[in-house]
Amino acid sequence: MNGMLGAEYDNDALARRLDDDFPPGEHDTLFPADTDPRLWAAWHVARGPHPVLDEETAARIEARLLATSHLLHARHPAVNGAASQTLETRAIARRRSAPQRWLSAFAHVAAVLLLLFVTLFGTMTVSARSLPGEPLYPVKRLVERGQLAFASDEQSLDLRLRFAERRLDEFEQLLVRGDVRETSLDDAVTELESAFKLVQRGACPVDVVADRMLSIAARHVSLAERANVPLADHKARLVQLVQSVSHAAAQSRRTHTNQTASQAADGAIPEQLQERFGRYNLAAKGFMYFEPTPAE
Amino acid sequence: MPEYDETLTIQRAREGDRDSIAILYRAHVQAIFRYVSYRVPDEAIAADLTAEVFLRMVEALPRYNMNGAPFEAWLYRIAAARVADHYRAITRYPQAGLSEHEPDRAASPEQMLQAAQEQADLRAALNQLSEEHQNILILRFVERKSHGEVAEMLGKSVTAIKSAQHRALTRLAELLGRESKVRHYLRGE
Repeated sequence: MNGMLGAEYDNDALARRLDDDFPPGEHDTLFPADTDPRLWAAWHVARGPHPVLDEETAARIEARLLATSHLLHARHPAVNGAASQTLETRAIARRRSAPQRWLSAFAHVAAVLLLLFVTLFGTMTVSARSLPGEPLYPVKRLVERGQLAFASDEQSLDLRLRFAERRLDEFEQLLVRGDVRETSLDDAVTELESAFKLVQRGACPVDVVADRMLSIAARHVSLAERANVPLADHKARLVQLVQSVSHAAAQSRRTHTNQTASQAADGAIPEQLQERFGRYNLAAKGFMYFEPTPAE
Repeated sequence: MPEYDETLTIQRAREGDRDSIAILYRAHVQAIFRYVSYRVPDEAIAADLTAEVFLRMVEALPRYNMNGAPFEAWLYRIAAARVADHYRAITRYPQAGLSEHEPDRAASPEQMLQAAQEQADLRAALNQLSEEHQNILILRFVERKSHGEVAEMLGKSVTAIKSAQHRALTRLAELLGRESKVRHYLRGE
């Protein structure tokens, strides 16, 4: 067949011949009288059989098409301004679409809030275990600030003491890894100072928290010694703090002792109070290192 | 030519009128299906692609620009794009198998087999032509459009269409001749 492909027809001549043999708009196909292979190839294409989409499939596609159209125009009511629509159908479309829009907006907002909550909660949970120098540590400190912002003086006092203990925990954990972070010791002293200011403001009787504060101070000194951290920077602050706490505790003891002396006659329990204040003996707490000024 | 006011129907269909969408669908579905059927080797795939063409029509109608070009030209362009997507999806041209077309039921089994084989040969040969050549031959000889209509649909000049038609038929004749020789050889003729 290759060798039979002559050049009897140029483009226009072939087009005219094809128009004669395969007239546009008609579907009758006769075998071309001419043996030119191009006409024969055109006859092959034209004769069919031409596939027909069966009625069932066509109807199924049409139903899908109309359903899609309905959805599209329900989702975009602006497109529904069809000239063929009646006022009633437009009103129905509006009534249906408004709740759908609100529902959709609510679902989006709820999803965003849920995502934020999960992300925030997850970050906070993970950050609670973070240590200084780690990426999430600033988040941990930010959460602590947030807790303080919404706390009463009494709650803040407790939080400050917990944060001081936490700074020492962090220092100790890093120390085990061979990493000495003096800032944690410094922050612990700052938390203790803030706690004592709250005590002075009357957030809590000093005798209730003095023991805990002095224990934290003792642990501070112990950790600093383990890490061979020169205490020059912290020492003055810590000594002053311990002295202040001790002094306040002693004053409180004097007041309570006087009251107790008067209350003893009334059958009060001076032994228990005495034992309790006795625990503020600085020497017994190992604070002779600081040579604290006796409070009494 | 459509037996309805095509401009008004398109306008209403753009605004979501279901009856108008149905009219446009029924007017063009068989032509689009025939076109797609010649471009892909399986009628089930052709039916799926035809459905996609009209779904895309509904989605894109609000953006359809009535600039005087035939509406069916727009549909053929959508169909050509869907066929191209199909072939991109399967990453390679599939081997042409036996035709899925149902041959004339009144014919004898031998005639049915021969018709099916010839149809498969034709489709395989067409698939070896360029997309433009396939479009020209299908529109001109299956859909029986005039050279002017084909030119308008494909955005070419009539001269360019006639020239491309000449080349497409020359190439198709070569391919069909080769297919025919191979088939006759296999039959021991």
